[in-house]
Formats: sequence, C-alpha cells, structure tokens
Amino acid sequence: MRNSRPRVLIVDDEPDILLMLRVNLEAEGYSTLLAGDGETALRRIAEERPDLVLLDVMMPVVDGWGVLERLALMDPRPRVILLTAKASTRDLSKARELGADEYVTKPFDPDALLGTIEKVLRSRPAERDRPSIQPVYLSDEL
Amino acid sequence: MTTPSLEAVERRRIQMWTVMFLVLVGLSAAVIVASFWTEALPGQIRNFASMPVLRVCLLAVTIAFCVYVYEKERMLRKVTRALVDERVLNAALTNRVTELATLSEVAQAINSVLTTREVLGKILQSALSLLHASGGRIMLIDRERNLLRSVCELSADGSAVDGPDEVALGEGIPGWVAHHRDPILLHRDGADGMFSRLVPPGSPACSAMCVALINRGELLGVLYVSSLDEAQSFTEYDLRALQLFAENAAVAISNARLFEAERAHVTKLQEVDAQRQEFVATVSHELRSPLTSIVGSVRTLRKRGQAMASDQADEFLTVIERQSNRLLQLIDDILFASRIEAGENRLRGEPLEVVRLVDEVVSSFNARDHRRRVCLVAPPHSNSMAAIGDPNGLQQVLTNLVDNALKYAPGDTPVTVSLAEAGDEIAITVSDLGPGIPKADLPHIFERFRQAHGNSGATPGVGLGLYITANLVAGMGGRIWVRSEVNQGTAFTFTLPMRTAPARTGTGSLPPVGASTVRGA
Repeated sequence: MRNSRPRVLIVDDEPDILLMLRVNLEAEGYSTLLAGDGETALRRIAEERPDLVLLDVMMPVVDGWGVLERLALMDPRPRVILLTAKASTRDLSKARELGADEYVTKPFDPDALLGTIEKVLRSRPAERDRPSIQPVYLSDEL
Repeated sequence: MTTPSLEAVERRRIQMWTVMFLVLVGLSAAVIVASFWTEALPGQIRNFASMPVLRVCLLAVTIAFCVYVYEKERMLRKVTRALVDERVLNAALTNRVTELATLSEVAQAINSVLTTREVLGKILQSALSLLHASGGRIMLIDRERNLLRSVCELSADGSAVDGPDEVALGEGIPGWVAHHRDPILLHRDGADGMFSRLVPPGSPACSAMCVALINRGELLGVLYVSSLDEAQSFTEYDLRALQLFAENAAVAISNARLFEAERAHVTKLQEVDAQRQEFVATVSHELRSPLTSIVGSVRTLRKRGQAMASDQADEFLTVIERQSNRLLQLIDDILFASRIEAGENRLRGEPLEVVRLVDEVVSSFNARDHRRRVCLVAPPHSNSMAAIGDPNGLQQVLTNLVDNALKYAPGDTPVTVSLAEAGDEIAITVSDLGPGIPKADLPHIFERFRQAHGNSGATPGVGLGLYITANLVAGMGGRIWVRSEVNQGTAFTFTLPMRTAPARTGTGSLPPVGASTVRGA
C-alpha cells in the first residue's frame, strides 16, 4: 500500500475531456493535476513529480510525442498512458519506442481507462522504490 | 544483260576511230598509187589498176565506210549520253535514300522514349546534316507574350546560330513565317529583296529557309535553318525536305504536350486521392474528439450521477450538448464543402443592408459572452451602404471570421469588425490582436483541410471553416484576403460588390501585395 494517493497528471487540450477524466479519477481516490498543452505538462511534471501521466497526442505547441521525448531524459520518469484519436500500428510502435506504458484510443470507456491506470501503476513500480528486491527473490528461487 | 560502262563505250570509240583512220590511210594510199604510179606497178596489176571501174569502186567503198563510221559514232554518242544520265539519276536516288533513312530515323525518334527536347534536337540535327545547313533552330510560340521563343538550336561548327532567341510575331524570317504560315526560302541576292527586308544587315547568312510547325491546324512554332556558305545555298528541293522535317517536329511537339497534359492529369488525380485519404483520417480524428467527451460524460453520469452534486451533473449535460453541436457543425461543414465542390452552392444576389446585417452578427456574439467584446467600427454615412449578395451568406462569413478571431486571440484582447467603402466595393475587416499566422502558412490558409496539415490539432475543426468562408465570398462576387504578423495579430478582409456597381465575376483588381487572397470564381 502507498501512504499517499497516487497523483495523476491529465494532459489534454480539450477542457471537456479534462473535466470528465478529473471527475472519474478523483471519485476513485486519485489526486489529479491538469495541463492543457505539452509545455505546461512538462513544467508540472518537473515541479510536481506525478506518478502517472495521461497524455493526449494531438496538442498545440508541444504535442504528446514531444512530451514523451523529453520525458525520456527525466529521471525518475513517470509512467505514461497515451490517449490518441489515431490508432495506426505505426503510432503504436512509435509509442512503445518512446517509452509509453500503454496506448488508449479515443473514444474510450472511462471505466476501462481506470482499469488500465490501475494495471500500469501496479505492474511497474519505479525502480528506485525497491532497488534490490528482484535479484534477491530470484536467487532464492534458484 | 549488263549495261556497258561509260569507260567501255569510250574504249570502243577510240578503237573504232583508230580502225577508221588506218582504213582511210590504206584506201587513200591505194587510190594514190593507182592514179599516179601505175607505171611502177607490175604489168598485170597496172592493167587492173588503170581500169576506171576500180577507181569508182574504191571511192564507193571509202564513202560507204565513212557513212558507217558516222552512224556508229552517232550511236556511241547516244549510249554515252544515256550512261551519263543514268549516273546522275543514280546519284539522285542515293540522295533520296539517305533522305528517307534520315526521315525514318526522325520518325523513330518521335516514337521513342526520348524527351521532347531530345527529339527536337534529333530532328534539327538530321535536318542540318541532310541540307548541309550551317545552323538552325526550333522556335515555339509563346501565346502569353505573343512571341516566338527558341527551344532548341544547333550549328554545324558549334558557333552561335544567327538571329535572336526571341522574336515577336511578324518580325524577321521566323516571325514572318509564324504570321503567314507559308514556308519561305530566301537568298541574300534574291531578286525579290525580301532577304534584306527580313534579315538584319549584319547577319552572316547567305540563304535561309523557314517552315511553320503546324499540327491539326494549330500553329506551334517554326523550324528555321540558314546557310553561311554561298556554295551551299538552299534549293526548292531542300525546302520540300525541310517541310517533311517540320511535319515530324510538329507531331513530336504535339505528342509531348499530350503526354504532359496526361501526366499532369494523373498527378492531379493522385493528389486528390491523397487529399481524400488525408480527409478521411482527419475527419475520423475530429469525430473521435467530441465523441470521447460525449461517451465519457454519459458513462460518468450513469455510474456516478447519483452521487454527484446537481450543478456538476448539469455541467456534464452541458458538455454533452456542446460536443453534440460540435459534431453536428462538423457534419454540416463537410456537407457544405462537398456541395461547394459539386458546384451546388447557390447564393442569392439581392440588395443587402450591410450595416444592419453586420450589427446583428456582432450583437449576437456580444449577447452570448459578456466577457468578450466585439467592437463594430463603421463610417458615419454607413447606414446608406448597400451591397449585392446573399444575407445568410454574409452573416455566415462574418460569423466564421469573428468566431475564428475569438478562438485564436487571448481573452482580454479586443476583436474589431470594421466597415469601409473601397472603390465600387464594400470592405468588411475582422481584426484581432492574437498570435498571428506564420508567413509560410498564409498562402494556403483558404485551402481545404489546411489547418489540419499545419497545426496538429491546435484548434478544433477539420480546417473547413476558411475554405467555406472563402467560397461563400467568391460565390457573392467578392474577394477575401488576410494580413497577419506573428505576435501582432490578424486581419481578414472581404468585399462585396456595391449595389450601384455591376456585380463582379472574379476579375477584380489585385489585392495588396503579400496578402493571401481568394477571388470570386
């Protein structure tokens, strides 16, 4: 169990989508941060270190890909779920290459997204939280 | 049977004359001997020789032989003449064969995969070598500038071809031929004096030929050749040959033009297809965005509606309504744009009270949002301004432009609509102090789906707004253009023809330099 509520940064240039996601996430006990463009998103990530970023791809100034590229240089890096209206295989592989954890196409069911968020937050805790657990565990097995 | 050679005939002739000479000498000797030295001969022969009959016989034989030789000589002369004629004919035939081979090469070149330039070069090269010309050029007609322009030129020794690269119709030999369409063959010392009239005094040419390039009655240009060598002056026969070259050149040029037109058509189709694909991708993206809000809001309300404060539930309903309207607007825009493309966009041309219609639009914006003010600036006498157009068209154009200005400009900056008279038009300008439009985007701003290309979805919409706006303005006989400076603001101006002026049909004066424009089509 985590001592504090996981903090999620929602990045989308459409206020209506921000509202809908914020209400759903807060109802499920997440703490939310909002950003309307890539530039703001990068600033908030640097300042407030969210656990997860819900990142829209198509945005003005710095788009989702731009944010993802700059996040690669960041340590520790928050987990990222890409939200996109495009669903080509090329985009999917690009997302994986740039280190996105999940890729969700619009329109989506908020409940399904909540499931994905939970899965992503559980599956890959930041390495820094428990640096030596896995090697020890593995050696015991053997 | 083989024909005797000229040399054999000549040999026979020499033999014949030699024999005749010898025979005459012999006969003459016999006659002389018989007449004067009869005493020296032995008795019997003397008796025989002194007979008068013998003298007569000798004379007769001599005359007969002379007649025979004369006839023979006449025949031999005839044969010689025939042989010489045949030789000349043979030479002419060889020439014809070379010509035919050259022309067939030219014809092959036309049908090969060479480019037009290469084909024309080949034709010119063949013409020069066959006609022993010093130089030549193919000039094509430039209808816009009303002149002939050299597209291909060649000289036997690599020097510059005589005459200018460009010549007005009617000027010089090429201009004369293009004007009259008749082939022309001129010599420097020609009796008609045409050469000195058409060729500038300093020209090195001694004789020149020029033929019009005509395909299916259309004048394409001219083929010109000149000779600097007096000994190689052109003949009527050369002119005929040049005409054959010209016919081939005309076909080559026409073929190339057809090919170019076809290729342009295919490229255009490919572009349209690419645009359609892009359109489908863009539309699907633009449909997904409002749907995300609608689907998300409905699911949220269904799941959490009961636990929600009533004003928050209300907010979700507003979102659903707004995004549904956005979807509807998008569909309307797409249909409207496809109607424009199908040419079904019919606008009325009736007298408009411009100030009242503009004021209605501005007031409705101000009533909708009290925080944003749209200012209307109109000259004092503007109430009497009357234009010709479609009232709904005018209001839609203005609504689109003001909507855009409000969308892009920061919330605390004013948006101004101003009216002015400009010549026989009324100009309406919508200006904002927003971020402006980058220079590179300005020329494309009225194109379909433009925003979707350049702007990776910065603002909602498929990029049809300005396309529709420009088409509405054009449909009412007006013009639209934009002036924008990055970080300074943007001003869209459109015009409508004034009521007193005859309706424009797109031939209006050009807008300010550097501005992107769409005029009535």
